Amino acid sequence: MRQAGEITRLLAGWREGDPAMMDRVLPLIRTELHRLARRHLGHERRNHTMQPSSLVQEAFLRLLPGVDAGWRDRAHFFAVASQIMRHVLVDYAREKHRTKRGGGAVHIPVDAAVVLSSEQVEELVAVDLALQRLAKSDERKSKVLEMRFFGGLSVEETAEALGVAPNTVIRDWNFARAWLRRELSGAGMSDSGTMATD
Amino acid sequence: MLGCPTVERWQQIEEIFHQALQHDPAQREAYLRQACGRDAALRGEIAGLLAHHEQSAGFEPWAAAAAAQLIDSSASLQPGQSLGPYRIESFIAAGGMGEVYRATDTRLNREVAIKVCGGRFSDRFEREARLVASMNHPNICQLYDVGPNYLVMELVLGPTLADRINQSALPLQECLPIARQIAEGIESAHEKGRIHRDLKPANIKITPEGVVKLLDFGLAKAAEETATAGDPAGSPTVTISATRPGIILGTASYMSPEQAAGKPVDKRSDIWSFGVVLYEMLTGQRGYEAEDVSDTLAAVLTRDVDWKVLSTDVPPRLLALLRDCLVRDPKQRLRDIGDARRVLDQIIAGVPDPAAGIASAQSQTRPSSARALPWGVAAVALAVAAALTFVHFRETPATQQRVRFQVRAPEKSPIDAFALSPDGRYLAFSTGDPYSGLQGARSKLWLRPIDSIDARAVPGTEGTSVLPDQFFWSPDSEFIGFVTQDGKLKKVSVNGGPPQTLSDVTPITRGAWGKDGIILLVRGPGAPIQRVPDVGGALVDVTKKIDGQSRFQPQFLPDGRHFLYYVTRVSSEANGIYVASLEDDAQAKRLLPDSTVTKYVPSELPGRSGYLLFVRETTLMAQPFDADTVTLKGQMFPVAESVGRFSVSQNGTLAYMAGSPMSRQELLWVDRSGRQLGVAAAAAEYRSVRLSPDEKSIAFDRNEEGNSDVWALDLVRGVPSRITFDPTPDRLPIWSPDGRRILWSRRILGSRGSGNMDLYIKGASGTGQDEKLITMGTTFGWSNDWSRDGKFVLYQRQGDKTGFDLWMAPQGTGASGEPQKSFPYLASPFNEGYGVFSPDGHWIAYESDESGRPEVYVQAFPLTNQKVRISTGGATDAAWSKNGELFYLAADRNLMAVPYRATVTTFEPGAGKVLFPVLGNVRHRSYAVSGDGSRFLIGKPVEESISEPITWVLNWLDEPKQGVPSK
Repeated sequence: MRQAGEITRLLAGWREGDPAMMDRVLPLIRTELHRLARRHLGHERRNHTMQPSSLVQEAFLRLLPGVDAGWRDRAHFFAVASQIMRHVLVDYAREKHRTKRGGGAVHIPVDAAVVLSSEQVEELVAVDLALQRLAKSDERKSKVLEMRFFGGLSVEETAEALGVAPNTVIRDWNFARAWLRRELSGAGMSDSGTMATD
Repeated sequence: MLGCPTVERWQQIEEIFHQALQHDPAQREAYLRQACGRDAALRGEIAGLLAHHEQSAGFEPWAAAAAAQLIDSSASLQPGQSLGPYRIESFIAAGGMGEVYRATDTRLNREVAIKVCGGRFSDRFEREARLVASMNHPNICQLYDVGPNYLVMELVLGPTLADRINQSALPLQECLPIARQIAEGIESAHEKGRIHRDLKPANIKITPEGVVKLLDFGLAKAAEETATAGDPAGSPTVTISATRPGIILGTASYMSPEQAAGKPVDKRSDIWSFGVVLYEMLTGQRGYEAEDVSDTLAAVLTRDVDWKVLSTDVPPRLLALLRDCLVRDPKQRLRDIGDARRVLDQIIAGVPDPAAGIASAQSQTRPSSARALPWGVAAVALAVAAALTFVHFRETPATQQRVRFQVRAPEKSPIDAFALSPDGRYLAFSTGDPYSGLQGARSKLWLRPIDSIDARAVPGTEGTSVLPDQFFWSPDSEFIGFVTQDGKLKKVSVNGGPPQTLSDVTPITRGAWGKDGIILLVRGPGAPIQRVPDVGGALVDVTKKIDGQSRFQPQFLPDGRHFLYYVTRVSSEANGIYVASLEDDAQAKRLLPDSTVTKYVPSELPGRSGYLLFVRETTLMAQPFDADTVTLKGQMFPVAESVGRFSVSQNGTLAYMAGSPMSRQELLWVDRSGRQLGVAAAAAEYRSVRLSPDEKSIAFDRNEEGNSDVWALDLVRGVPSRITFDPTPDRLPIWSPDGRRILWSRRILGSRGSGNMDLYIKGASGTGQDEKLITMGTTFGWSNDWSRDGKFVLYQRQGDKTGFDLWMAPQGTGASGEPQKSFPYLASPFNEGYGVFSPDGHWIAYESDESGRPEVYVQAFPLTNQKVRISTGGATDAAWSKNGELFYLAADRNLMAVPYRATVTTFEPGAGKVLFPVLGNVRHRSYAVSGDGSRFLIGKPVEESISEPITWVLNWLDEPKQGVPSK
């Protein structure tokens, strides 16, 4: 595939700390995710929901065929895909949230196939904000939450993407979930929006 | 301190948090005090996190699924890409049928709009669309070309009418020319016999020059017919998925009542929609809009638009036109859109209104007032069902179309039992398989109103029993009577409030509720039919008990005195469906030879006799039956195929399930990373799968016709063999160590109204007799494992005060030749269960909820004080390979592998490793591992949901077609 080399190069650049590479790779992967999801829904399972992790898996296989040695590429691909999924969803939730708040909500297009409950919309916006806060104290945990929650990645995929042991992911996931739950419940948030300490 | 906590502090919090999790919940408080010392803030912080940790267990990554769907639903073509001769320029919008792009026709160098749809068009759609393309009118957006999956249209720039209305109501001078052009476009199409069917502001564009263009003319019909072309019965089958109702949400508000009700539509349907659009232009608000689709459609079918919000400066002629368009009965509605165009022309031209004098009087009368629809609430439901799909609109009139749709359980848990309310407005169902976990009590009742998409849990019904007819409706549809697993008969109002206990019964009691405040009960096989007042009280026998005769599932006839029941397991002459009366048991009369649940429904038509409904084999049959004279009338006829269990309302609504609570799955061999190695067994229902010692066969149980039986399958030859044929539930098979016999648990219905479960054995080929091997002496318990040396069978059973316990049944005879007695192995106050022997038989891995949730532990056998906790964070479903690994299913559904070193006296687990996630929602026997630990047998659901839906049918009877004799 034409793009394989380019994506590998972009991922490598990003890994080496060039954030601009990320901006370039995002649309490529996003397009592929769209294409795959559409193909799946269109041809095979009209009424079925695509499993998110198989979506990401398949996108990877199609974009980077033969990049076999690329455990790390695969891992980074997953990380990027999770980030995309978070952005897509949070943008959508914010839009919903905004139209709900601002009145005039009656004519928002409802053709999009996704319908989230208003609780879910609220929760998504809140989760995103909380993750931004968490990233300041503990970036790895925020990544674990992002990959598991938004990317639908398994413990092992998350571990690969972050280059840590699965047990670490499980520990992070346990702790970060508890932290997130507490944040969402409104308890323990200081004015600065970070974890309250004395 | 403000701002971020210091790194040290954060680490400290995290460390103590994880340490605390290792402690029993009861000891955490003490541990925190010790670990945090005098730092009360730290302690509070961690205590708070621990509290939320418990809640976060159910934190499902639903967001990922939603994100995947969203990605799917957004733009998928990039500028510069080509579609046939068309070059994509930019994305315009996403709509119900697909995405719209601006593109260039490279042959003509003409700008066009391209609508790209999800899948390839059918030939039929393409033909239909080409007919549409032949329409050519300045107010209709021209369709130029039809591609394999895209439509090429005239590019119309400018806002849609929806965008315009979004800003404000339209002043009259702006509204009139637009309305006139809409009418003219429709008129031109109607003259050619084309109906729009999906007219709405979002489908109407206004160019910068003020020219109105109607989009998607006639395409709705093409789409509908395509969508249902595969349904031979012509009755739409709908799966109501909570995730996709948005598809028609934008359309429901503009649907005509006949369209909403799924009836045939003609051009008058467009006239209604035109009226709704006109109303919206004039008022700036939707004529019909509610929280969700079903409420919106209910409003279309039953209510008028709010006339009061119309401004007083609307000319009387326009108001009259609007009212003529919005008449619910199509026969009384404006007949021709040309008439509307003419009226608009006259208003625009300032022609004096000849009827001005009587206009005010006219506006006093409510046109087509909310006349009660003949089929009442069912019409609303019908509408919902119809609208949630692309309905196949028949061209021939059908008075009450049979409509079916499906209801799936929330939370993806299997539906166990269900009952329609007598008025057909609610479906009550229970979820939670008591076999599926140590917490059998998590079953509960749900209520799904017919006009809603979601079911709601009924508070206070946790621990309800889950057998069919263990809950039943009061005749007024206000209460549900139900039986709990601890043997209480309760009732709960559908309007809320806590359940009220009526009587002490048994956990397997079934009942029926009659109109004079009488509930009939059968507490178990062999028990007499008894009555109890529906306000609570003592049980009184109604029928004399006859030894060996089991009467089941009484159902009242409409008089509230006669009732039906069935008798089974006596003799073929005595088995059958009976009718008896509360007054005199001697007059019990055998009606039919079938031994199955039978329900009576009255006819919808006056003067007609009603029907007895029952399942014969897997076909739901209706036998005409005169309830007054209690006699059969005429020939029975089939109503539905593949029915296991059913429920009917008294007004033509039917719900049924095929009888297996889980859908089919393929069995796959996968490697340690979850990668598929091959298909082990073709799609079918497999529950509780166990691999034979030679790994060439599996034993499993399967639900057929509402009863569970044990099966074996030769994986090499693919040949299944049925092991049990008994009408009692047979479940959870295990293999004998030599692989030649299969042991399972059978529930035998006892003589005093309670069921006993015992362990039975039979040859793995299915030949020979079912033999009782072990008497468990409990109402609830089942086999777990058989030690490889053949000496012990491990089973779990419910203790009186100790929850589930693990018991050992020694095999063979004792030293002096007498049979050996079973003895308890673990019987703590907590639940222990799902034990499996290690290969050497010295250790048992099992599940216990002593920490507050299920975790996997290992204990020595015979019992010593060596006890090792294997999992943290919740785990079930332990299994051993033969070469030093222990497996379990973690709470997040990942399969974990734990290496260990063990001697007869010591057991040291190593670090666990995540293998792969196991699909589905089953927490026990969800996988089987090969002896060498290299491959696993797992189920892959063939359908997305693993719980079988309930099929809900409206107007199931279709009476005029059946040759029903009158009385």
